Amino acid sequence: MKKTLAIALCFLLALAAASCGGQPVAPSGATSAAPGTSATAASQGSEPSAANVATANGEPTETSEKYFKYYDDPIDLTTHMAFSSTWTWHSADDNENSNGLTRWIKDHTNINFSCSWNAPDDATNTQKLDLAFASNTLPDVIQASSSQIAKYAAAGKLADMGALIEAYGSPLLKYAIQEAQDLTQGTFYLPYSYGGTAYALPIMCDTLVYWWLPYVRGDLLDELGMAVPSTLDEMEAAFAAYKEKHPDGVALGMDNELIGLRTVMAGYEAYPGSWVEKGGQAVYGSIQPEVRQGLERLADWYRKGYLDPEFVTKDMMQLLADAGEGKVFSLYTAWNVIGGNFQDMWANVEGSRLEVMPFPAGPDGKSGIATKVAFSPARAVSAACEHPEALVYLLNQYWDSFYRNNLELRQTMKDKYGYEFHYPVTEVREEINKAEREADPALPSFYDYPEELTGFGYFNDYVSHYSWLYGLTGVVISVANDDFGQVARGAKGEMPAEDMTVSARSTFEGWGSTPQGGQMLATFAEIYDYWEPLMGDSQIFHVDAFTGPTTPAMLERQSYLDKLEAETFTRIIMGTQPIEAFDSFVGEWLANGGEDITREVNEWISSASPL
Amino acid sequence: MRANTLDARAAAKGAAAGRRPSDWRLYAMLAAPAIIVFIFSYIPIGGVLIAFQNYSPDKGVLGSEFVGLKWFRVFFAMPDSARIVANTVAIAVGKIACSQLASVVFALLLNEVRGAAYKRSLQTITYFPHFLSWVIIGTVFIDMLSTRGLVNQILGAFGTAPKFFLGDPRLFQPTAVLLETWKEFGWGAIMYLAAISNISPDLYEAATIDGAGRLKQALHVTLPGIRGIALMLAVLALGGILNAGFEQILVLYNPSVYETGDIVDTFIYRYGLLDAQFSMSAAIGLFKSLIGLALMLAANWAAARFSDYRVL
Repeated sequence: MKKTLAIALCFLLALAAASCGGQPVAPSGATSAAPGTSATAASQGSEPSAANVATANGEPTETSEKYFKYYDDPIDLTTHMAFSSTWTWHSADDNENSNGLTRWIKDHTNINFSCSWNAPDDATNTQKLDLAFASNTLPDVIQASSSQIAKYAAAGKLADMGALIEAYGSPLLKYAIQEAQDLTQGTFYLPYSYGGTAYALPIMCDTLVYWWLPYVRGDLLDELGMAVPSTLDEMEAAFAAYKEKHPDGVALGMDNELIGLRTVMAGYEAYPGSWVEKGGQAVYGSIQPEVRQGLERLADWYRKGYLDPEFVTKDMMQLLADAGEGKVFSLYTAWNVIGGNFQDMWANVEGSRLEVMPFPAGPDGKSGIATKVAFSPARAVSAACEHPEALVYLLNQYWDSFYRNNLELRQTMKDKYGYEFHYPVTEVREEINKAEREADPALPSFYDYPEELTGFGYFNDYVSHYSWLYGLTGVVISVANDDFGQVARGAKGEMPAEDMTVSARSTFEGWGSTPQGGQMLATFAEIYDYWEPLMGDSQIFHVDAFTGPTTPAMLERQSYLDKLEAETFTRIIMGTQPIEAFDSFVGEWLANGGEDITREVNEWISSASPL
Repeated sequence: MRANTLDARAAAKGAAAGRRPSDWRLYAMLAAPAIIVFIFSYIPIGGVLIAFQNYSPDKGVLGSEFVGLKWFRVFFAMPDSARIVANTVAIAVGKIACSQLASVVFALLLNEVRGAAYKRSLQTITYFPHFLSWVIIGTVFIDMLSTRGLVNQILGAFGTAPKFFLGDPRLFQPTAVLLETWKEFGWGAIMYLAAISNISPDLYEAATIDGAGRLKQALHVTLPGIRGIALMLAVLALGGILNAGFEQILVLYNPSVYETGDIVDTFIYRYGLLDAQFSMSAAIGLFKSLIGLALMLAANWAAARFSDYRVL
């Protein structure tokens, strides 16, 4: 639960950072087009809004065109979404049921894409989806978490997504999925599989979502005359020195969900909340003796005043707000806070600077972290949907348009898979309302592309602005990665902006033009340089051994066990329970369902095979 | 209350005699609330079936497999169920007792205030918090009750060591009860003030002639005058003995006070809403209602038996 929240939070923050940074995270490595292509594209862009789209776009082969369908009779496809009151459409007349994207879909596929509801936030959206499930009125296309998918699939409410993609997916879609499979050691579909069938296609996002890490205030370290700590003992020394100078400050940020304890746990190679391999078996991280050591250390630090004495009443948001006011010396949080509260800190706290604090080494000189597969949520199709293949056709269209300018990918697809792109390479133009958007980053971008030149959401910012809402985003992780690599190199002055891809450059310049752009880019470069190699370091970085759906014993007991864990850990840290409480916690955890859960998890691991 | 009873009796008599042409109007007025109660309170009763099932939305209420008392057993097999029920009762009883007492005392005091404008503004100020959501009030109090907050600063002036009201299991229940009392006593006093204003002035005049001062009048005229209302409110409140105030607890509690702060409703919230365990939630909800009904009937019986006052 804790982890899910953390990831959800991370996802939200990614969006927040995206809207702050001028250009969202979504656009991938679109290679800049050769000059002149725009003219070609524009002249041939007289795409008719009829069934014969195929022939209008140059000379795509017969075989590729079967992946693009125009329904002869209009069909209805319902979905659901969450957007806040600050959401802006491109025009005042637009709404979730009628906007550039839905009109485009209607014109080119004859699909009426509409919303069964829109929720003000993700939590409400999740609840509404559960209620729709309970009342048997699931929309045709849904976006749901792993446990929801498991629940719905068990009730027979979802279509077989794996089979749909196999039957209707374009080679490009399949190529991207294969790539994601490779990058996740074949676990891509697993969180959304049930009984060997994949029921949902995870929303692919950048590996950046994994990037949670500890930060420390570099300016305060300078003041103390200390270097960035790299071990638990060095951290403690720095905290002691910091508290001496700033008795009211918080040395180590902690929140009521204890997300922050991961910094310390890393030093003991303890993995609370994750399933880890031990002696050929998957065991629950929170009940391992390493966690006991970590808790003992944290309790000691709490006693010494390094933690906020009232951290239990503050959630991550409040902790970040405190950090924004410069009250926090070090904390563990997501990378994209550099587009959020850290901006406040740089603006308000004179001379403040952030440094990446590596996961500290413990007594034996090692450290380790574990994380769940972060591709969440996932989109699925209701079993009651009359045209389950329609979503796959939409994805075919969308991804083709989305990657149209990636010349390398075009070539690979053509040579290896005989797949011709449906949409031509198109000159990427600058947005025309850049000045307004700088004043109000929530505004959507506008472009002066000729009206007749369309592509599935490629223009007028539909790609980034609406595709999040409709769940059609398809950032293929590896392709997107180098954009950020280029941004990081640009921030270090190793790469001029002119040499970057269009989207990398626009991210780089967008971030750079924010009031705290210099700090933001410098910190991002540090984060990138720290995490990029870390992801490949299997000594330190572990993926959760259990990526399956909620098991029966979890359904019955997880809530109680989570409560027990949160209560015990919190009270041990606060000193209202002695460290021995950990031992009785382990016994109680095992006796009250933990043993059953462990058995089920191991059964799942031995039965699961990559799809 | 009494007036209504009289009306009802009169109506009943009229109906028996068969000639009260205006009766249908009374029944017509009753129809709307009756329909609402029927639709929203009686029809859903069928849904309690899912408390005895392995409910699956797919199969529906009629198609799901029956599992008897499984969910009740699962709940009571939880190591913390006894603690949760005990917390709930302790917090609820504390809240009922404190806010009723505070309301009665406040109504009595307010009744003695002479300036009409002063009295009205006092009343408005005190019942205002009732309209605020706990989400808002909670945020304010989390700040005020922190170890460096206002309350601890005041206590500090008297030499008391700072207390962590929302992080200390021993202090959580009293804190929750006091905050609830603060929020609701003004609202609760409205009922009593209405009851007080119904007391015949003759009684006060007679008491004055007999030589009773203000205190004696309050004790021997006002208090007995509102006894009926007080009993009725207490009996009705007992029906909610397992309602310890979900919203408040959810906003104020945290893992370090689960021991004394976790109540039945927060438990249902975690299971029912966060984990979507419909059957389990329904079972606990049913359990809550049954306990409430039993206590209310018992209290009503006791009220009738010992003070000759019948609510139901």
